[in-house]
Amino acid sequence: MTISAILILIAIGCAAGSFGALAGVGGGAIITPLLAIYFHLPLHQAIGISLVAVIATSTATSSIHVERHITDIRLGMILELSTTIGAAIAAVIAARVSRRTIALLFILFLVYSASSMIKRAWTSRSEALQTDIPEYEVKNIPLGLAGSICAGALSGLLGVGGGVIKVPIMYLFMNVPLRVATATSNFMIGVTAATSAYIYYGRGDILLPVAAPLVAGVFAGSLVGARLAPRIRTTYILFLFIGVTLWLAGQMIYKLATGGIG
Amino acid sequence: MSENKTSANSERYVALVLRVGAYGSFVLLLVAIAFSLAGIPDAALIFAKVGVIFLMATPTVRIIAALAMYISERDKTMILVSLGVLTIVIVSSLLGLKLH
Repeated sequence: MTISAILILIAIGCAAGSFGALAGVGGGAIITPLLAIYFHLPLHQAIGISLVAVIATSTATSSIHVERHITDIRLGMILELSTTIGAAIAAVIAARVSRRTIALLFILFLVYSASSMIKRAWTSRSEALQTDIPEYEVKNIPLGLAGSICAGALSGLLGVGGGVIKVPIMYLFMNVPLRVATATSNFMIGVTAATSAYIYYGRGDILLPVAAPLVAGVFAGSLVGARLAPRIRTTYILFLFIGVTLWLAGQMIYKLATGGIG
Repeated sequence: MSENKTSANSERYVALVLRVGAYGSFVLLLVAIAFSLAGIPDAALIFAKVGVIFLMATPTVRIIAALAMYISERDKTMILVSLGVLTIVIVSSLLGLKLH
């Protein structure tokens, strides 16, 4: 691998890691398409490497969030029962699903992520910086478990964290404050991604020379992002994330139409 | 926070596992990159492999730390939940080993 390729992978990892920490997403939504489109990796390998990056984002940011007592460990562990089942089943099935189908699912996921972020960015314009966490009582756990199976399956199939599903469910239906929901989702995605990453690794879909610089970049970006997160308003980061996500969706549609995604 | 929130002191061990996992694998991957840039691909591959495996193992160790935390607090529901998650993750890793 050339020096420039290593540096580009570190830069992609840094960007995805800081996005992940600041916007509360795993960064997989950016990594998988970038690897597939610009590094010409087969989609299954891009997904496998992205899963390792999601574990890195989760591990780095959660180490800080747990210390600050923002994470609801108890709720996270309960919902992990579902996300891990969904992730394991999806990772096994993924090898039998055509790459075209996975690419189409990924495009739908990117569009959904962007629309979900548009709503969040619009709401956060008027929100003050959250410093204190209000008292809350978790509700609707069965709904959370059902939604978490879908988030886990999405993670195992597409190499993403699935935070765009879990965070709104926890925030809107389970009475969990947004900051706690985001931290708890970040805490969960490590275990969820690891469940499917073991299977991708076993199949040889995690290319180490690509994973090493990318994941090192993710660590650097996540650690800086998680420390900056309480101090900066995330609206502009969310709008940037929306722009990148929609642009990647457009690139994937173009590549899919021209047969450029393997 | 939610009901039955675990004590801050116990949570510190979970945070410690995550911190050791994060910084440990970060350092191993940086060494891999250094060997790669120095033109020693064999050593780079070994450190990359150890770094990635160390990272992938961290969430499983984190579940074990949480299990130990709930055992010390005699929280039966959460002991069962932790054992359930741990079982699914171990089955998945065994499946990965079988495919390897």
